Amino acid sequence: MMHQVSEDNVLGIEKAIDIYGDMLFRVCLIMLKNEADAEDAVQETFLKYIQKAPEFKNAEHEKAWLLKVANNKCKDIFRSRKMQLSKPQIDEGADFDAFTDSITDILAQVPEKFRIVLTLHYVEDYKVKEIAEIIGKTPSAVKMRLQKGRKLLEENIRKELDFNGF
Amino acid sequence: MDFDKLRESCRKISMPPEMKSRIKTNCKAANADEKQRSRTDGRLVAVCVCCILLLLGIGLTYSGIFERKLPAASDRADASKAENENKFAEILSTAKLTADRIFETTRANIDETEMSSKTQTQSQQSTESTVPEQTTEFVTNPFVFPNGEHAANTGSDDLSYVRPLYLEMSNRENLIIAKEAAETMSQEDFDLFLAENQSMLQGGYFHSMNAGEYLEFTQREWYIPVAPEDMAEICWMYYEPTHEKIDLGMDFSETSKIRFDINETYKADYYYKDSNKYRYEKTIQRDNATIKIYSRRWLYRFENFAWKGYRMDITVCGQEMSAITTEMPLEELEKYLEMIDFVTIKDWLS
Repeated sequence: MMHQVSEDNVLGIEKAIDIYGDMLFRVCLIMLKNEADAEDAVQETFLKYIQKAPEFKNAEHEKAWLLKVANNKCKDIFRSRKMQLSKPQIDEGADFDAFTDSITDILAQVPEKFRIVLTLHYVEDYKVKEIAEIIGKTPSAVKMRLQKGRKLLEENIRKELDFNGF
Repeated sequence: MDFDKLRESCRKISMPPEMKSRIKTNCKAANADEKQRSRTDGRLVAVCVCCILLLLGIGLTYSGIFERKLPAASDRADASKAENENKFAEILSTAKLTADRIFETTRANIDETEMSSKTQTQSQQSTESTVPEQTTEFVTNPFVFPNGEHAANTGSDDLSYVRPLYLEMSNRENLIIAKEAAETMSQEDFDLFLAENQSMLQGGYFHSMNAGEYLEFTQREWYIPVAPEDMAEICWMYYEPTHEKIDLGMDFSETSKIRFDINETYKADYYYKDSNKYRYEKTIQRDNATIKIYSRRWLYRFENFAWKGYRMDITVCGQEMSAITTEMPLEELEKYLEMIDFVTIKDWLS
């Protein structure tokens, strides 16, 4: 399934939002832990999709392109958050909790660079090589991050269990 | 670590419908803006390209990149003027020499003709003949080239035969005089007049008789000396009252004369064997000067002069000043004429 966006093809962007919107929102929400930011990231991603109107080889290519753009948008938002350290911090958990359960919360506690790799691999079922292309790293780096991310995830689960008295 | 549970848990997350519709609305608006922007950008790019091309064109025009690398204008003008003056001085001096030579030759021929004419008249008077059939024997053509060759027989286009310069503007006037003489004089006086003025007349006859002109010598028998090869090319003349064609080529190629009967009017017309080859005519208009240049064969045939070259009718301020033939090759002459400026012509003519 492929939805190339042409200048006159408004239906194309709507269909793309229908197909990929949830997936992008999911990834962005896990990454940003904030619904409004996630919405911004998704919207920015689709705006770029309109502006660039790229031609895709297939649906997978299109999906990967959108994920790559969404990842960059998330990074931009992280960067802007870091620049606004002096300002009062957004309560990330408030909106996030409405969408997630405990295990998703644990994933969200993993640092951002491991979180995207884990999300893409374990949630979106991307392979190491594909993740490497999306985030712009080497496959070995992705493997390392996956390995480290798993460890961090297990540690967080263990902490969560200890915290709950199990 | 149960990653399946993680997957299921995460996949439950979906975009709320209101958020989805919001994003769709925003994207539609952005799409419309993008289209508008791309249109504006396209127009802007087109305008920029046009401006750049325009500026480029103006720049190239005024930068002189297309101009030929020539000497400075003043130097060029000076050189051209000097060259023109030298050339004209050369032509003029050659012309004077040639004209002197022509005059001498013509004078000698006239003397001979006068003698023979007088002798002939005396003999005719002695036989008491009232109307002589051929009262005047013209010299076929008194003009010869300096090398002695008869000019009328050099019909080739070889430019080595081209002779320098001849100025002849009085023929038409002479013809008028001759016409008046023919109409008013007695036969004897007119014969004498012809004998004395034949060089003037024979030089001028065809000069004045252009195609379609009428010959109005209505009282006298009249002979025109014409070169043999011209006879073949002058095809016919009208005998005006009946429009009867007189085949000149047949009748006159041997006699080298055209006979016109007295008291009749003839209308002349000409036919050229190969008009495309011989005919050349160019008019150059500059300021108040008009220069007409004709091919040498044209001149040669029409005027019955043997000079090969080009005739230039130069009109300055509406007044015809002169006619000229030169020995220049045509191409050179054309180039040269392009360089002539009004002042130079005026100076030269004065």
